[in-house]
Amino acid sequence: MTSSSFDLLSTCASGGCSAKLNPAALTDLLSSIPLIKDARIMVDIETHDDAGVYRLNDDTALIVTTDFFPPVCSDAFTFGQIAAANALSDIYAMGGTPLLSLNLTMFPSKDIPLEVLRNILAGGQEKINESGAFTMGGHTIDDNPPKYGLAVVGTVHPDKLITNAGLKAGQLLVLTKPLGVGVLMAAQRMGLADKAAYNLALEQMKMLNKAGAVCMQQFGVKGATDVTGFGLLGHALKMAEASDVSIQISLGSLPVLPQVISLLESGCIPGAAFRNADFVKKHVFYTPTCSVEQKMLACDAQTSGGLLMAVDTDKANDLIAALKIFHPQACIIGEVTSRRSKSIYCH
Amino acid sequence: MKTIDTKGQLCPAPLILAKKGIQEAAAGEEIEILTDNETSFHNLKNYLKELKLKPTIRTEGNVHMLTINKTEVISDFPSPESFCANPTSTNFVVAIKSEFMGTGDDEIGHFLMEAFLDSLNESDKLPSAILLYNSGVKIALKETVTARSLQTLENIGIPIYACGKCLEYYKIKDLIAVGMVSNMFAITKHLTEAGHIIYP
Repeated sequence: MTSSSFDLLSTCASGGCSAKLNPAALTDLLSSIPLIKDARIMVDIETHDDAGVYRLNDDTALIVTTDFFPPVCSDAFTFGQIAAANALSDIYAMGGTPLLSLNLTMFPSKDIPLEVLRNILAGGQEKINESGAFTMGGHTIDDNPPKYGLAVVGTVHPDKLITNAGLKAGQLLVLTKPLGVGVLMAAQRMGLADKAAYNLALEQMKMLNKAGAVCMQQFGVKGATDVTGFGLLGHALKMAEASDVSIQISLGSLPVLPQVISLLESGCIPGAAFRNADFVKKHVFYTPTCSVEQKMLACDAQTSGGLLMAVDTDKANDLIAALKIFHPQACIIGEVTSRRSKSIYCH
Repeated sequence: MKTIDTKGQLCPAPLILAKKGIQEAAAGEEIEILTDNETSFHNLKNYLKELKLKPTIRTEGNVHMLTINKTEVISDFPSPESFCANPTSTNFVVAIKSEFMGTGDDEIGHFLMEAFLDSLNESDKLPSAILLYNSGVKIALKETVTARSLQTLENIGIPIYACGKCLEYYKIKDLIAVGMVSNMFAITKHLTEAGHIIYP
């Protein structure tokens, strides 16, 4: 087998953020390991934010994050691009700029031609270059199936930090990228995905959230996250809880990739969507008009998904116009309200 | 009886096979779905529940059998919209246009509203939605008896829509405890699509 034809998807059963450990089990286990506090830590694990933040001085805070996963697509270069864009995204979700990165790599050197590893790293490097960060090295373990991702350090002015806890009642919620990546990847594995729809999903996963982060700073956004493995509702739930507000989402206005609704209607619902739906169930009110397809789309695990941000109503139109240059499907999907008995209301 | 054997297959394949099988089955036909994977079993149960189907479940060894009857399927998965669009259906909405029930003294009007919501909670016929507008939004305010009754109704799945403009006008947007902030478009849609409307 030549390296260019090697199908990375043949190495693993479930890919991307679907490979995440069950969030409830992880939360439970971590609660028994206390962490040392420090006054300079601006964001730690407690608010379930995208990254940790440490105030160096009055002008600079460091953002640190890591993310890696098994292959999400067949092509090595594309997988590298997606994994790097996904890891860099956590810096953007906090309103920061990536500065330094390290490659985290696991690769079965006896089973797969080494050229494939080169292509994964080259794809990742292309995205790191686009972000403006510098690669400082990495670590590679001989292991099967392959996994790739980054540890990233970014910077942000401490006053410009954007967190999960920054939502205010009355603001509007904006999502930058369409949903349905998890559904299309599951469909691709089963040979059901349209080529054009699947390619759009790949293109979208490769796209950095850099422009979104710039727009957030331009329009004074204080609360945001990126939508990844826990799906739109899972990440919205974390924001609602951290900000002590409730969130209303209009499921009918969610931006969605082509073919995804008809795939959902045919029963093509990835296991991760059910896991996420279970995780958020207690905290979500669905009106009877929400269809099973809409609910599952809102729970679909995204890989390198878009930014979900809250913006003041008077700035919403200008923000959307600015975002649309890079993310044509960016739109308002809901609003932030004062705290109610449920964290999320879907209608 | 139609058997859909998904043994050895991982999600989402069993769901796709199940949905296809249900659609293809004749009316009145019994459908049996087999799976030997615990996660698929769990997801199939949830999926069928979402489709408003109630499977009978048997387990033999490591094989789970979910049996459903096609007659349970009402006209091949009607969309929620088609339910609402049907004017002959018995669905009704409660439109609360004032914080007081009826015309007269405010004190008795307020008391009657509390009593109405209590009775609605006890009723075996429940509305498909509760709409609050004008001073009606005030019955959803924090620490009121009426908000507690509304919460009980919301907890059993009844959506409550409060007019956002009205909340702003009375400057109580941050004080409401229950329901969704809505707009005239949604409220009008519910009023026009309801089988009938109760104005207490």
